[in-house]
Amino acid sequence: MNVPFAKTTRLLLAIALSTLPLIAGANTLERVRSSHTFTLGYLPDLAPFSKQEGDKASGYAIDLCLKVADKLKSELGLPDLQVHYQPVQVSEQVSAVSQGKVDILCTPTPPTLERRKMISYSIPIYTAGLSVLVRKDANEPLLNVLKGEVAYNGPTWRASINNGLANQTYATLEGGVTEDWIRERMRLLNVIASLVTVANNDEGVKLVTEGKADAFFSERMLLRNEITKEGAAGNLMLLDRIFEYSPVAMIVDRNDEDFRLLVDTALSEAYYTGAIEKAYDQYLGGSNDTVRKLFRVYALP
Amino acid sequence: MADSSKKMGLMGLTTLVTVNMMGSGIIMLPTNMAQLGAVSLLSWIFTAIGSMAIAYCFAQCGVFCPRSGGLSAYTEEAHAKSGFFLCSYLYFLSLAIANVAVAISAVGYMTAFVPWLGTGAIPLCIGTISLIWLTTFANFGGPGITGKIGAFTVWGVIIPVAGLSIIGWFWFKPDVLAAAWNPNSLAISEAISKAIPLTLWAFLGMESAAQATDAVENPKRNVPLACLFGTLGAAVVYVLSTTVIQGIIPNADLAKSTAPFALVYATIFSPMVGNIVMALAVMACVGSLLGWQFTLAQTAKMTADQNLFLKLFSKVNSMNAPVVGMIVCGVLQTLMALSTISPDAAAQFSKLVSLAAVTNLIPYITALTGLLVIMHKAGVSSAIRTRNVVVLLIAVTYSLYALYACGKDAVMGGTLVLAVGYLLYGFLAKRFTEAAPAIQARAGNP
Repeated sequence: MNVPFAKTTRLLLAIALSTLPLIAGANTLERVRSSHTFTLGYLPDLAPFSKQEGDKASGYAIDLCLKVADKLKSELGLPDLQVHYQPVQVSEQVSAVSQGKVDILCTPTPPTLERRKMISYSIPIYTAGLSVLVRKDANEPLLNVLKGEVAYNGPTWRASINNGLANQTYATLEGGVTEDWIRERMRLLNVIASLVTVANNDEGVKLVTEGKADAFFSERMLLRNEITKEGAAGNLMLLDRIFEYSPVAMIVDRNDEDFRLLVDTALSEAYYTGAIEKAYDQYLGGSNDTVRKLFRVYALP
Repeated sequence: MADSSKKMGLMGLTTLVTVNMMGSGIIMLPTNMAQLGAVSLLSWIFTAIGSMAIAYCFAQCGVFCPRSGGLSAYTEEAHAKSGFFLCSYLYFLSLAIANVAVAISAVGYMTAFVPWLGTGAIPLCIGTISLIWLTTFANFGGPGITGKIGAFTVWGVIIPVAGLSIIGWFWFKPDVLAAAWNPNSLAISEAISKAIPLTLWAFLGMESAAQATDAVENPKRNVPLACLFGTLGAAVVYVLSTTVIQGIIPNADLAKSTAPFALVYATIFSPMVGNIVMALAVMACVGSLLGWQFTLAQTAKMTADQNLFLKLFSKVNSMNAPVVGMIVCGVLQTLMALSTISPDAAAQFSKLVSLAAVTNLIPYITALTGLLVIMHKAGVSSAIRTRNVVVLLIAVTYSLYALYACGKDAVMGGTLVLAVGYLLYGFLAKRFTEAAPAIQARAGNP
């Protein structure tokens, strides 16, 4: 009775052990050297960070990945290194790197402890900020609340115009960290509001445009990009306030310190040489004092 | 002079004061208080005492100075003719602006029944202007009719709000109130300081009894009593209703309700009852607007009677209603309502509403201080005098605090408006200095 079982177990173990070197040995540098290609993973519709353009891609994160590619060329002595662009779905962004489908995920994401169990991260390449988008005709109490001021700062008396019935609707991406954040703070935001979740940024923006939601919370640059898409005739505006900050970075393989070191070296150099600042100007509407201070915080000496 | 049957009685006047005060403010008050928690109820101790002190002083003014003119007349006792004019001018502006705002809020609540009104700035404006004129025309029948309509619409407040203060206790659960006590875990002092602004101005309107002196039977008795009873009634209803509601509806639900009184009735009975209560609240709101349009026209009339506003404001019809003045007020309010169609102007209008609270409070202080001279002229006993001065100081302190708490933008705007008032009075002042040319003639001929 026990024999077949033991046999199966041994067999399974053997298979497991035989695949182990394959995983552990998924050395990114080796793979690049042997294949002469560097595969950049990216999210195809996350302008201005990464955007699909036919076989290629463009954007802030793509430019930085190309800096890494340049570094690879010089470090590995591969002047004819091919760069391959591989679009990745949001749901696969971790597995694409951990399974070696791509060498790096250019589109930056916020590191979490849970994700760090499967993959590793470069130094931060950008500081994401939770911001909010509203219609230009948004009422004043809502704007005040979203700007962190008192909803209404005049006297409350019989003549105070009551916006009570104008129940506000907030929208945010489903399941994101922002969803919890908004639920927690809605009470303190002191405006009567309900929260709806949407699958992606386009959908959230659409809700606000159509008046089905009054405010859409998402990442500042992505919102900015949506507003640019709308054009000057659009009826949307982005508030200056950043509710929460979160440094975001590129995903690299977990057990590959050599490659990670190379990536961080390339990125740190990009910080020091001003290449990142240039990319900010080109894609992210320029930098400011705070952002430049963070450059020095993120770059490794 | 119209005969007394066309005038308002004590009940009518008391009702007018209570309804005027609560107006549209009461509708959202439980939600605003619930957002801070039941701890905010403690703020009533402060605001009810302060407001009763003001009401008491106004009543004393009415007892010892039963002349026509309301706040302006009390002001004149201490601050002369320019005081009368400035008081009327500021108060008139305050009401003209506030009435448009009450109309806008009332239309806002009507959207629950007529959704079209909520579809944009133009439907809102049309609704507001219609309400302004509806409440203006309803006043053409004179004070007697206004009092009767008011006595009907007041049930819109009595049934849901006062009714809740009585029957609500059967559904009241102390543990619900206890759970709602301090949901944000604020320090008690902080919670109270945040709650005071919610109730600080809730009593503005208690002066409407004095403003109606001309239109009341036996004003010497009825004006002071209506001021006291009206304010006391509002205080009792405010405190009881906002307390009981927090012991029925769990805090989290109440804090995000857009119609708390409708919600509590829907919870106790059925959603249908909730809707009826909402309709009653809208009716009360319109009733309060009717009362305010009346007070506005009366203020203008009394001032015109003193030769300080245009004479057209004092012309009354056979029903003792200053119809021409009412139409002028209606046109003025229509222009303000029209301007709110543009979103930018709508934002400006909310600043104007804050300013209107300031121009309501400055007359309080000028009228309250008039009591000192009124008592002197009436030769009151020193015991009454001492008592009244103590209450007066509380009342003035409260008014000053309420003025301060309006915020610097509103106070600045109010001060500018006040300064413009001095310019206007400059043009009027010669009407009261007839003796001057004679003196000059003598001076030029030694």
